[in-house]
Amino acid sequence: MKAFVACFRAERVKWRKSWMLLAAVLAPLCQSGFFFLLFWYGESRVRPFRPGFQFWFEINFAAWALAVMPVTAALVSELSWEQEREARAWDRLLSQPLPRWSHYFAKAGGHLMLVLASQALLSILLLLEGWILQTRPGLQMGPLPWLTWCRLGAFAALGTLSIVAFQTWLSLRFRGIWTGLAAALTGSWVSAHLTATAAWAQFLPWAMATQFGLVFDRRRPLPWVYATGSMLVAAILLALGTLDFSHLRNTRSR
Amino acid sequence: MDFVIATHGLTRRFGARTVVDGLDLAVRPEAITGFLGPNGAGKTTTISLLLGLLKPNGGTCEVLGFPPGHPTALAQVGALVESPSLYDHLTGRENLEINRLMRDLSRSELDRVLRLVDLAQEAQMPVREYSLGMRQRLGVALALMGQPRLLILDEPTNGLDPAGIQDMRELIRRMPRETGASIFLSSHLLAEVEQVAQDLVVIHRGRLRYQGPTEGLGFPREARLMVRVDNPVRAQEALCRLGCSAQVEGDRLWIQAAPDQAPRIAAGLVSGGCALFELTPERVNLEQRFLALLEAS
Repeated sequence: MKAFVACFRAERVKWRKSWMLLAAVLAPLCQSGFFFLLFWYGESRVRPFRPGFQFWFEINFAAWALAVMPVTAALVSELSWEQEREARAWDRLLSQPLPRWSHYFAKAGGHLMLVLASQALLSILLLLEGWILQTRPGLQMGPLPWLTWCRLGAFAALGTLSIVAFQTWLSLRFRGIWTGLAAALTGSWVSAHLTATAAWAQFLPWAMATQFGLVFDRRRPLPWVYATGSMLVAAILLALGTLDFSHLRNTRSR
Repeated sequence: MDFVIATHGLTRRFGARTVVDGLDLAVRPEAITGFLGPNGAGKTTTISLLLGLLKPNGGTCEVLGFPPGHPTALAQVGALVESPSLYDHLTGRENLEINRLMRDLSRSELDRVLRLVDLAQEAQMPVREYSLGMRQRLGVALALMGQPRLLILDEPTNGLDPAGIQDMRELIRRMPRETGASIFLSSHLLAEVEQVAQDLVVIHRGRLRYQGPTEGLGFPREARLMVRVDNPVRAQEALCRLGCSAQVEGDRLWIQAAPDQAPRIAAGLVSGGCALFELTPERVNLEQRFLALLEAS
């Protein structure tokens, strides 16, 4: 645990002035800003989905979980591993008196922390921008639904675990930002299509996040049972990634 | 512990290619040991094996009495493998901070190593603005964190200009004095290593070619003394009286004798009426010996 904490603290230093931090900050800003403009200038289109505040949360969290969060996870993972590749930091990291797993755990933990921080920023922005949207009576925003805000936020956060674990491993193995982005979006799309029909699809890393497709059907509760699958898949991917990371350097020729 | 590094039959293969082939090393403490070999000799692979970055296919290895990669050993080893691994978007200080956190060291350690490598003034600059020499010095500073007992430096002067090489040489030379560390200095340049190293290890194609004192590489197997006098013929007669055979080459004489015979020979020549200008053990060109070692293999 001490080794993990040491690696994680070192990992946080690498975030300073980094592209991955920028990606984590820009993603919620761009998404919420985009929907804010749609709401602000599209009263007539928003009104059928009233109460407006609930719809504001639903559409934002659904877009986040289905597209923006997987993309953010892909960007953060790829930029983070790329930072190590550019610095040729493997030897430096692995010659520290720390077990190898702690480096990989700290990387995955760091990616998760950044994506969750990004989501926390989104959640705060949704409150602030929703409060501004409340000033337009035509949107019929209604009172702030705190419970929906908490419920959707928690569901999205749990769906993040397996996606981050997958993207962390993918970016370790396959270099290139487009590979990560393509995997994130394709995975989300395939998962959204399969989870309703194939039982095994609930064990895809994107399975829980893509359940956000149900959020607009307000009579159906969110399937929280998927959280177990998400955590299980995340744990398996983390274990496999750690094994792979420990083995990777030893096979490289000099 | 007799040796800071000890390997027995250390072997590493990449596919069918044997890069390190049954290497037996014994590196003594509190000395600068040069680790020499041409490019591709297996130096960096050996260093990777010593640090536990690679696993050997055969043989054994101990660093500070522990198996390679053991956390207790790594805590006492500072390493610079190939070019320094630096995060360009961070400052020099932030780069050091990463290692400080991983090694759980005090903040004062940053200032200590920055002073040692003379980078205190530039510590707040982003590393991407550093010159090559500054990057190398920061790499050494990273290796020095935590006051390691053993420093492994792999080609620390790579890409440096002559002034940078001289600065780095001075830094390496004063490190055992100031920090008490043993240094294992890898290089493919004999001229660079012979000026600072007390001991040398020479490898070629993964095999050990020489291990011993630096001067040992420069001495021929049969010891000879060179003498320069005013009258070589009279000197030859005097040497005959001492029981030494000598060959005359111009104003010089070559005497088959060990260096510890020098005082006796000097006294004999002076008492024989010769003006003695020079008396020195024969040294062949170190570079020639080094190349001969490589060619012999």
